[in-house]
Amino acid sequence: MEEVDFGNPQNSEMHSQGIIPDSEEESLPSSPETSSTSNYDMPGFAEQNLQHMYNVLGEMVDNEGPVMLSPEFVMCGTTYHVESHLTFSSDGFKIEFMNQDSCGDDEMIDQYWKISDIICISCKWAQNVGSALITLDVGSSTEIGSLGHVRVQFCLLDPQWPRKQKNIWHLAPRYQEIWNNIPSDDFISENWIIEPSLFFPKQYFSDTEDFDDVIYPKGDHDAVSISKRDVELLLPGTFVNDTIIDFYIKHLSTRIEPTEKHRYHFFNSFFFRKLADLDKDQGRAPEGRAAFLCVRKWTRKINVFEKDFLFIPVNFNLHWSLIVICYPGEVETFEDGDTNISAKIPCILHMDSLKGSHSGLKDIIQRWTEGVRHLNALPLGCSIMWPGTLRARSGTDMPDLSQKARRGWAQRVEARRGLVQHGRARCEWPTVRLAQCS
Amino acid sequence: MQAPAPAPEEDSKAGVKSPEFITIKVVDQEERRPVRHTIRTTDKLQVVMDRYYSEAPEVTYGTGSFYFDDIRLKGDKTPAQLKMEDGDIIDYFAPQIGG
Repeated sequence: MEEVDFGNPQNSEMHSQGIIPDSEEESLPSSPETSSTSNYDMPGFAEQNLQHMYNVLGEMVDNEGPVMLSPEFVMCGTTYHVESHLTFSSDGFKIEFMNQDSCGDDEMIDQYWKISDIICISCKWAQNVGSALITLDVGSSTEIGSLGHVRVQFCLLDPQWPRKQKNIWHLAPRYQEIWNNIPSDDFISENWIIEPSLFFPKQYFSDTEDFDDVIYPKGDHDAVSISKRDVELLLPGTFVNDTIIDFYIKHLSTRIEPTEKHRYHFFNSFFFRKLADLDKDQGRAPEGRAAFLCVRKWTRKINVFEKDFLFIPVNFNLHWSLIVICYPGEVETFEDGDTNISAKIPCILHMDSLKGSHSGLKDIIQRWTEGVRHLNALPLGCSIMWPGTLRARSGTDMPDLSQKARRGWAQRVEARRGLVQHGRARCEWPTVRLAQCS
Repeated sequence: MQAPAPAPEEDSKAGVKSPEFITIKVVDQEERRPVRHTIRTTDKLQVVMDRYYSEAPEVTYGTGSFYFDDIRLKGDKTPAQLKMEDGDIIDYFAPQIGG
């Protein structure tokens, strides 16, 4: 379960190529300013181990030499540079980037500032998504004319940033003197206004003019094909489509431990559409049998009752939400009123960032589960008893859970089993960018 | 047909039997407008998709997705690769967007 790290809604990783499963954030050193209070603080021994691990991974951990970074892009003044390399050395700071004006040649240009020209460095580290936003204010440039004051900003998706930051400090005392850590555990702090275009710069995406379709995961017979049109939906103020949702589900499911995979089944974004359209066709509530039959082949390779969690993305009224069917196999044996907190309680969770919509979803899903149960030749004789379908509330009565809410659907369901019993749960679907889409 | 394809199809083409014709029906969720198209089992499914778009002019070409049960179709696949049979139904779904 720990591997299911879904990030938070502000996670910018979707637009990047950072689809490599990150190491668990718990194993990482925290940013220096919070290390005294953080649970993630590690004793020296463990740090040594980590150091060793990073060495093995070929990561840049040299405490003596320059620190090199390769962010997806760098905003330098008003210009974006892609495929750039940044180097912090003991005497200055260098950006190397591809010259886009050159006619097809891979000509690299570099800009260099002496350490005395760096006015200040601001850094914002978001531990939970393993990314840092770094801003450098630099003075005159000695290489390319006199640019005067320039702001260099980049976002780095690198769980090992805190270590690299320390390495930069070791290069020269001035770095630490001018370093300004913006203390926050998130990117949404009120007093730190982030230019949204930094995360979704139009120019960055305009480089996708000749964007070739991305097949993900490569080689998978059921891979998702992402086109330029889909990628453009990641820009601010746009709705995400089914391809993005399906891609993200695939992405998340690759991060589940292979030994755990059998516990989950992720439906694609059209499963619910198919079930819901059945209602429309018949003009009346269809029976479980019809619901089961219309999607029978969708589940022919799995036994849904052997799964612990079934995830069903829902698109309804231009809004994405998620239905999680928990422990469908326990419906047979579950007795209402069972107060054993550790029991696997079958229920349907509807995780929705909006309040008060999506009525009727329960019927659609419950009908299907009944149909599956009756027609899948499972032992009969028990009546279906779903203890309750929970409409998620977006109230603020459980602030402690909102922190956990970023951890992932599945973990969340586990964590809330107790709350489910009392008929309350607060869930937000931490989907790709819900927060920015509505 | 030198196109790379998984072994089973190649074998069947190698002489055991010639490609069959099957009729596939495309059903969409909006207007229930079935579009039937007969193709060889070794033809690419793009043909069926194109046929659907041509029969449904109000649908922008290339938008939406085609599903054979839970499998999202790609134009370069063939019915044989997906083990499709005569009379099988493909669902066309309009794009789903949301925030």
